[in-house]
Amino acid sequence: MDMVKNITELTSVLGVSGNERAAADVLERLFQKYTSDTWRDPMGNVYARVGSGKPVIMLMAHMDEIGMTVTEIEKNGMLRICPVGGVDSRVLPGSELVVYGKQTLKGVVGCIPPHLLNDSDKSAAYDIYDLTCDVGLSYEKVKEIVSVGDFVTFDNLPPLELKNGFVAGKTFDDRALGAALIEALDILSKRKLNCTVVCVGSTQEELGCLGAAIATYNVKPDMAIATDVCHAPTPGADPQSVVDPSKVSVTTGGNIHPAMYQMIVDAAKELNIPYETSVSMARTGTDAWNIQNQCGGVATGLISLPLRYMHTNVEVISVETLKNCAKILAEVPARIGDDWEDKLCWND
Amino acid sequence: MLERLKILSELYGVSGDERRVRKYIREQVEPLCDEVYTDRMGNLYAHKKGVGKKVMVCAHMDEVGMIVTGVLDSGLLAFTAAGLDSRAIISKRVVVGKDDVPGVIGSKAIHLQSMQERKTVLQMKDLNVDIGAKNKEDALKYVKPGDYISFTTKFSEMGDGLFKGKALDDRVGCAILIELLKENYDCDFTAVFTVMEEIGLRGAQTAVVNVEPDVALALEGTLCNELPDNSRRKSVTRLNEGAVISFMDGGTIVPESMLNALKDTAAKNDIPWQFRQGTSGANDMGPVHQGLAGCKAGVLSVPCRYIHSPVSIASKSDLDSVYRLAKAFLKESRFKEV
Repeated sequence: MDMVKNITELTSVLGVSGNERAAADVLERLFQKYTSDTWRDPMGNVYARVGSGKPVIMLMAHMDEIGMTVTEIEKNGMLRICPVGGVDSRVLPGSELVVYGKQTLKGVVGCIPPHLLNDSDKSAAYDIYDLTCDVGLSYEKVKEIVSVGDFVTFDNLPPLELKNGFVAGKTFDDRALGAALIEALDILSKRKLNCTVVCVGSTQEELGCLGAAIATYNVKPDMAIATDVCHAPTPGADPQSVVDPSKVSVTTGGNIHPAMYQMIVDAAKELNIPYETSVSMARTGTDAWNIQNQCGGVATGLISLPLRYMHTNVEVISVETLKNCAKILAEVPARIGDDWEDKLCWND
Repeated sequence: MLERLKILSELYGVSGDERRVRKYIREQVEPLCDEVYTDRMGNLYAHKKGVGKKVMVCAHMDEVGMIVTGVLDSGLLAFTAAGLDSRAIISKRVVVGKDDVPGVIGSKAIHLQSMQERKTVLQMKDLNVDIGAKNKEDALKYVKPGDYISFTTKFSEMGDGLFKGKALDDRVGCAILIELLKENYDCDFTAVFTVMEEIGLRGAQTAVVNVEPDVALALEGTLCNELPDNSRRKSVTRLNEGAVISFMDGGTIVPESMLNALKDTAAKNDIPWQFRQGTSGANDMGPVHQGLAGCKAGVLSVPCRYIHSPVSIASKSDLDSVYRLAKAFLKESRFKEV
């Protein structure tokens, strides 16, 4: 399967937290290549089910993306914007944006030419609240198309292929893992299953993993694996906070059931996939946090794809590592045995 | 002209590495001129022989950009830049070197920054180009120190009669100048596509010696700082208000005779025009009017929002106004008055 093609499709559509419908449409359509058993819920989560019987294993990737929203239309037609989720103001100047009004508009985040700046101007970082999005229209024309509250994203260019199988682009957090769910379904569709697998595209992760809680309530899984991105090394990053981009990150800690961690590690070893253990004492900052404590408790695991420059429009990932994430996601349910309940028991 | 501008805008031509732009323009102008030649600096001259005054019109081929200064052990590229604000280049796509190796300028994720870091300006030395190399040795297979780095912004129309793209400063001038070469004028006419304007008006310094003009005109993309907080005065120029006529800038005081000739030509032909209401920034006319025995020099510009960043915006009507004004100035032999 062409994973980059799926990532391209998934990342080209709007899905700022709270408005994931377009992303859900694409994900559901891609899910339907493997199963007709797909559905949505009122929160916007999208589900795809394969297999039958116990245990029920939920695999999740969030569909929402960080972005911006319009807060004001200036008299000269330029837009003021504010962040939805963790947007770094410093990446915005000189960036191209897409404004999702009654029609989509190209926008440019303007910055003052260096000719007109003195040294003290240049020593202050730009703040999103001081920046403007220029759509090249007069106030009157903008008002017809754009209203306060409309969503804005980084330009949705197709991913850029770099050397050594790395690709750069926007919203790989977490649509890349959406592509991994599809690849996992592809693998699972060729295997005989002794369980039910429900793949979920979740909503509003960036605002506190709200979709994940609802989805867990709806699926009532016995086990779950959340998937997200983690940081790959970049200059200045704490070495303890990053994972080599050629390895799949497997998290352990309070948010993770030890047996789930072990099942993921066993799957990685079985498949000869390089992995690295990430330690998170408490909150993982992922859907796993809101899956674990639903429905009286769900055995939850977490695998993550290392990514450079998170929450920018040039997030960099290794496609090979992403494929490895998908293989592990499929392998855990595919090799589940009758002893699954024993494995989840606390044999203290 | 817009189709040609799209091609010109998307060509990579950082100051000192104008070869792609030069090659394209040479192909375009060769059928239009008596002779086309280059000098040792890299300027491209398109000469239409004639009698009378020697008239030179310049547009610069180069654009702001970066150059690789080294490769880190991690395989990331260190770089330096000219004419760019480091705050405007973060999280952008680029190409590196002769083979257009794709890369991105990344920065530490917001999650890993302290509150203080979020408010700190990232300098060029804090930023790197990421081409996906495994390490230094791997990176050196694809790129090397001295390779030029350009933004890859695509040109397209947008908004109400506007267009956006990179390097509008000064590919708008190049596009107009190519168009002007389609006409014949009552003078000895040389169009010069100059190099290295952005790193010290270097090309113009040799162009003036090689052409020895009596009258010179620069076609530019200029400041148009129309942010909502700005007064009209601070914006320097306004989009859609017509061809920009300079009375003075950081390198040239335009002689009254030239200023009057340009204003009169605009008025007579009903061409919208505006003053460049600010004196920051210089252009090729600085060295040109001071070269040799001196000459009369003027500047016409297209207002471009956000110049010297990865993406600028300009107006089709302004582009047309500058073209029409320059053409009328030449066709009506107004250079004879200056």
